[in-house]
Amino acid sequence: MTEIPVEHGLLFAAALFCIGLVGVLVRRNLVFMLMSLELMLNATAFVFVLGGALHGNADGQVMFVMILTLAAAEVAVGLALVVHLYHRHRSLDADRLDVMKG
Amino acid sequence: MDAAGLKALTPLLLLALCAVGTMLLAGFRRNGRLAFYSYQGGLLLALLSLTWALPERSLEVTPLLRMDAFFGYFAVLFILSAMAIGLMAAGHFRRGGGRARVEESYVLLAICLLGALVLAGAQHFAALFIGLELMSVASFVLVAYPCGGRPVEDGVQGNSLEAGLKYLLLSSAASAFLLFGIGCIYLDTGSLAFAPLPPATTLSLPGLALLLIGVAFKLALVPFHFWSPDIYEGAPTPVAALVATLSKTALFAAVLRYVWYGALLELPGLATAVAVLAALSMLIGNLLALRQRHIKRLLAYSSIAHLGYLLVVLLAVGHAGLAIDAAAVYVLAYSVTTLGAFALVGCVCEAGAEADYRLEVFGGLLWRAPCLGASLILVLLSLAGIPLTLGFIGKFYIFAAGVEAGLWWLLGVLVVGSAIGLYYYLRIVLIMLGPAPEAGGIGGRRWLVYGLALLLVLLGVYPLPVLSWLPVL
Repeated sequence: MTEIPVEHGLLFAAALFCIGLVGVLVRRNLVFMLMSLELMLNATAFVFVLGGALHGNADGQVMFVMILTLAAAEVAVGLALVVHLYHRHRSLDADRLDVMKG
Repeated sequence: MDAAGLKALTPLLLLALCAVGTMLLAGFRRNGRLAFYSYQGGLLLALLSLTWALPERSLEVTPLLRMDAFFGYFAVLFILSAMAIGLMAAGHFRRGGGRARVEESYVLLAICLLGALVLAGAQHFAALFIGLELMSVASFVLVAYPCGGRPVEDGVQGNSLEAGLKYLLLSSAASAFLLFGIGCIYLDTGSLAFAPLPPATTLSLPGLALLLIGVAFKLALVPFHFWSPDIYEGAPTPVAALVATLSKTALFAAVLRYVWYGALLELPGLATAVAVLAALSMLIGNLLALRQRHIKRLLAYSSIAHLGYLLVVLLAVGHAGLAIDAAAVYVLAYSVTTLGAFALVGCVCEAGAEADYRLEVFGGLLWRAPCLGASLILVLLSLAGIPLTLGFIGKFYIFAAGVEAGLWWLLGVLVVGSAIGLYYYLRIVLIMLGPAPEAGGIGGRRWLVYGLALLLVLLGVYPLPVLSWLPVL
C-alpha cells in the first residue's frame, strides 16, 4: 500500500476545520451550530491521529480519545441549554439571544 | 508514579474527592448548607494538605504535571479564591428563596478549582487541555445555573441562559483553535511536552499562531474580547467573579509556564503579536470601559485591560529575572481586587427584590454604609494602582520587569491605559459621594468585602509576607 503524504491529511483537516468554523459563524440554528463545533473538534482530533501515525507514538491517539470525551461533554451541556431555550422561546434561532447589548 | 508522586498529588485527589463527595451528599440529602460545608471543608483540607504534600524540590509527577514552588503559590491562591467565591455563591443563591437548588453549584465550583490546579502544574499539552476543559465545561453550566429550576419569566434567568449558550459556543470554538494549534506543534515535533521548538520548523509557527488565538479568546484579549461583557452581565455575580479571576489567572499561569519552558519569545514574530495584543487590550479595554453605565460590564472591560497589563510580564519572561515574580504578584493583586469588586456588587446591587447593576445604585454609598463605601474606594484605588494598595505593588512589579526587559513603548501604553482607567474608577467614587437613589438597600455578605479590602491595604502597606514567599525559580 502506498503511503498517503502528511500534507494531504493536514489539508483535509484544515478544510474540515474551516467548514466547521464557517458553520458556527453563519448558521443561525443552534443545533447546527453545535454540529459545526463537533466538526471543528473532529478536525483537530484528526490532526492528532495524523501526528501519532507520523511519529509512531501513542500521544496523538490518547489526545484523540480525550478530544472525543470533551466533545461529548460539551454537546451534553449545549443540548441541555438548547432544550431550555426551546422551552422558553419555542425556537432554536440563535438571533433570539440578543437581549444584552452595549 | 511512585509514593512521592502520589503524595504530591494529594491536594488534587482531595479536591476530586470533594467534588464527588459533595455530589453524593446532594444525592442523598438535598441541603444547601450541608453542601456548602462539604465544599468549604474539602477546600480547607486540600489547602492544609498542600503544606505537607508540596515537595521540597521541584518534582515531576508523571510527564504531565510538575509540582514546584510555582505550583504551590498558584495553588494556594486559587484555593483561597475559590473559597471566597463559594462564600459569595452561598449568599447569592440564598437570595432566590428556599426553592433554589444550590447544591450542584458547589460541585461545579470544586471541578473548576480542580481544573485550575491542573493548569497551575501543567508541563504538557495534555494537562493543559484537561485542566482548561475541566474548568470551561463546569463554568458553562455555572453561567447558566439560574435557569436550572422551573422556567420563570424573569430577566435573570433569561440573561443567564443567553450568556451560558454564548459562552459555550465561543469558548468551544476557541478550544478548537487551541487544539488545532497544539496538533500542528505535535505534528511538527512529535512531542506534547512544554519544550523549545526545534530550529527548523514549518508547522510550528502557524500552530503557535492558532494557539495564541485560542488563548487570547479564553483570556478575552482585544480583538477577541467581545464575548466577555455579555457573559459577565448574564452570569450570576459569583460566577462572573469565577470567570474573571480563576478561569483567566489559571490559564495565564499555564501559558506563563509554557512561554518560560519553551523559550518562545526568542521567536520574533510571536513576541510582536503578543505585544500588539497587550497594547490593544490595555488601550481598547480601558476606552470601552469609559462609556459603560453597567457595573458588571465595566468590570469586564477593566478586566480585559488588566489582562493586557499581565501580558507585558509575559513578554519580559526570559529577559528579566523578575518576570515570574511580577506575574505572581500581579495575579494575586488582580484576584483579590476583582473578588472584592464582585463581592461589593453582590452586596450593593442585589439587595433589592430586583437586581440593579446601574452605576447610579452606588449613589451616596459612603453616607448610607460608610464601611462598604470605604471598601469600594479601596478596591477602586487598587484597580487603578494607587500606592498603599496591593494593586500598586502589582503594577510596580510589572513596571520593574518591563524596564528590565526594555519594553519601553509597551510601558508607555501601560501608563496611558492606567491614566484612562483612573478616570472611570474615580467616576464611581464621585457617584458614591453624590445623592442616593430612591430605592437602595444593602445586603449580602459584608464581612467578605471587609476582609478582602483589609487584605488589599495590609498587603499594600506591608507586602513582605507575600514577597518573601514568591516562587523562587
